[in-house]
Amino acid sequence: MRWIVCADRLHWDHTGLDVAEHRGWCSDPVVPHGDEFGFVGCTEDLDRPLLDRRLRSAGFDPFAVPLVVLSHVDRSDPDRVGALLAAAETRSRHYGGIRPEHLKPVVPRVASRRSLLTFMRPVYTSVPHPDARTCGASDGCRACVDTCPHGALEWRNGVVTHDRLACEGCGRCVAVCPAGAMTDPRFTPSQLEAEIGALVAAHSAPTGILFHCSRGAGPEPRPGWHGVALPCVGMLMPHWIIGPLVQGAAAVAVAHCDCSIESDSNERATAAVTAARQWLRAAGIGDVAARVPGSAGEIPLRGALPIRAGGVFGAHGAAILANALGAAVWDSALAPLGVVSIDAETCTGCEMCATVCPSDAVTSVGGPRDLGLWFEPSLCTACGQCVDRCPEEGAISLRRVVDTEELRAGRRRLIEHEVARCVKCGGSVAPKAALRRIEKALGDDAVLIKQLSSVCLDCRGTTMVF
Amino acid sequence: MNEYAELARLRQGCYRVLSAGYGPPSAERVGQIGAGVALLADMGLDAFAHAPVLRAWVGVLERTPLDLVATEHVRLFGSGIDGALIPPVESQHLGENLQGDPARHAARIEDLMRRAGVELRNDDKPPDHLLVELELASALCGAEASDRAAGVDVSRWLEMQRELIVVMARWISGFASKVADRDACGALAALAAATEAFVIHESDMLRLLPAETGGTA
Repeated sequence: MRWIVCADRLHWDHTGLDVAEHRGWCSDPVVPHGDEFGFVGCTEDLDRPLLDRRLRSAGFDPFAVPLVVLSHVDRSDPDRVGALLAAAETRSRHYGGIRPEHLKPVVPRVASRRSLLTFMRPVYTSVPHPDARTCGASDGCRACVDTCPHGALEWRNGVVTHDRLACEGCGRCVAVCPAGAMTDPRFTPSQLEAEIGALVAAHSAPTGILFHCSRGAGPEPRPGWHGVALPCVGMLMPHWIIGPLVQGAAAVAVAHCDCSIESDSNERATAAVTAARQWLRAAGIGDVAARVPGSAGEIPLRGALPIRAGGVFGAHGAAILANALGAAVWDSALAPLGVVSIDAETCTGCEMCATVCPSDAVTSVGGPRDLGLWFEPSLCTACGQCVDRCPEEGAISLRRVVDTEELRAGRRRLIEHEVARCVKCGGSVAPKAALRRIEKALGDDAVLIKQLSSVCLDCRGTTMVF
Repeated sequence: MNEYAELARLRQGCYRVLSAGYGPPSAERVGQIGAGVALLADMGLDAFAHAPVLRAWVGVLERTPLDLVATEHVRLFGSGIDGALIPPVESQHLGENLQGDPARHAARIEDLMRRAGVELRNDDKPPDHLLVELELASALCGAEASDRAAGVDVSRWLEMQRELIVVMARWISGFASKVADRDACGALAALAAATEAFVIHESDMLRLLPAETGGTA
């Protein structure tokens, strides 16, 4: 990749990078021909809207083109510049394009001096949007709706609708989506993983990763540490915090969020950091305070963990991480994995849990005489949709826990229901537990109860009298 | 002319260029579309996110042999509602129960046209045809631009645009994805993608515009 660099504040002669220097590029961002290039700005005065317009004019999606704006700290260290460029390039290569539903126009509240002479120009930000092909909303999942702090998501008739203008792009819906259907094209799991991998690979010395909110000013760079932007730190899950450690980073910290869009972002980030430390301790990792310090630079960086794993930022990243970290039992309300159990007395076998489960951790299997509910712990993301949608109170419960024994044991049967057979055709009517529940609800209508419990749906139309 | 009037003119032009794409393809029309997008670029099109998709459509259209585009146009859009694979007609995409739905959708657009003071010159297209809807939206933007330039309240034009676009935004993505799956020449898929990007952008912009302008110039 060829880099178009601003030469106002940095000499590029000895960097060994393939660059084309332009004086005054930040104020007059030139877009070259071709399609394999990125930009390096040297100052915060970069006219980003002008650059975006020029990119669109040349037929490019501005989000697809890597742009690195160097701070005064970065400019002093060629190795650091090289790492930032490598990370930006890798991130750009993992960018999968943006759909119109992901673009939120924002009209600046205060018109600039320039805009008084022409029409208002929106700036664009990307927001998460569910992919209808993988979204579990049609089966009843509302995990994203329940977590949205801005009321931007709504579940209606099996579809999640998204109000882009109400969305602030905090990313919490992305983090909780059990099916990985909710995505923000600028912050996909593969981009995040690629960026962290490139930053770590670019240095022979130990490297720290500092997660920070993309909507605020960003943290002050620190030697040995690299910032990685997320929609907001309030979206962080414990396995996302540990993720860079199994990619070779020496330490991970979370920067204080100063965007103030959601009041509880820092509180949530702190809770996730505490949870990550607990998990590491439970997995027998010794120097937890040095691996996940309270702030970047608090403790000197040391060598990386001897554990490697990929895919930690994906929908089933927690299970991947649990298997990589090794034997542990960590019980916590913030655990990103869960174990489901069913109360045999209360469960009626209605299969709502299996229907709604967006990650297929709970499934139902019908046999000739029985109906089994099965559970696969490595697929459970502890989203709690099965508990929320169960019509029988207390029939299903979820224990939030990372338990590697459970993961190792694999798929198991939670309950087996005996199924009533049709007196006419011998087909299945319903689980006997469900029929007992119906009987209780109907009271003393003996005729109706008998018909419902002895004749299947196919035969019922010809035999029942209402 | 003030800045919001300029914006309305630009939006009017985008609607017109896109609506031209749904008409029968001809060399003259392709030339007009290319010239239209060039003019829109002079008006500031590149400030908006849909600009690259619009440009991409023109690029594909100009590169693709006209007879191929014309064949695909007839196959996908043109062979009558029942014969076409993907008719660009609102009621065909929104109506779950088609009995009575085409009339309901057509009546909604006709009512909007009546209130806006415009009427169809010929009746070879149903009122809820995408071409007609885009032309109507273009006319509404034109009226808005004129009133803004004259310093007249434009809230009724914005309200009518919103009425139109809110429904279009519901079906345009499904329509665009079907065209993308079935278009053999690429030009119609690019047109549908450009329409989708613009309509979705408009559904947001129309919510932002009154808030920023108070509905007046």
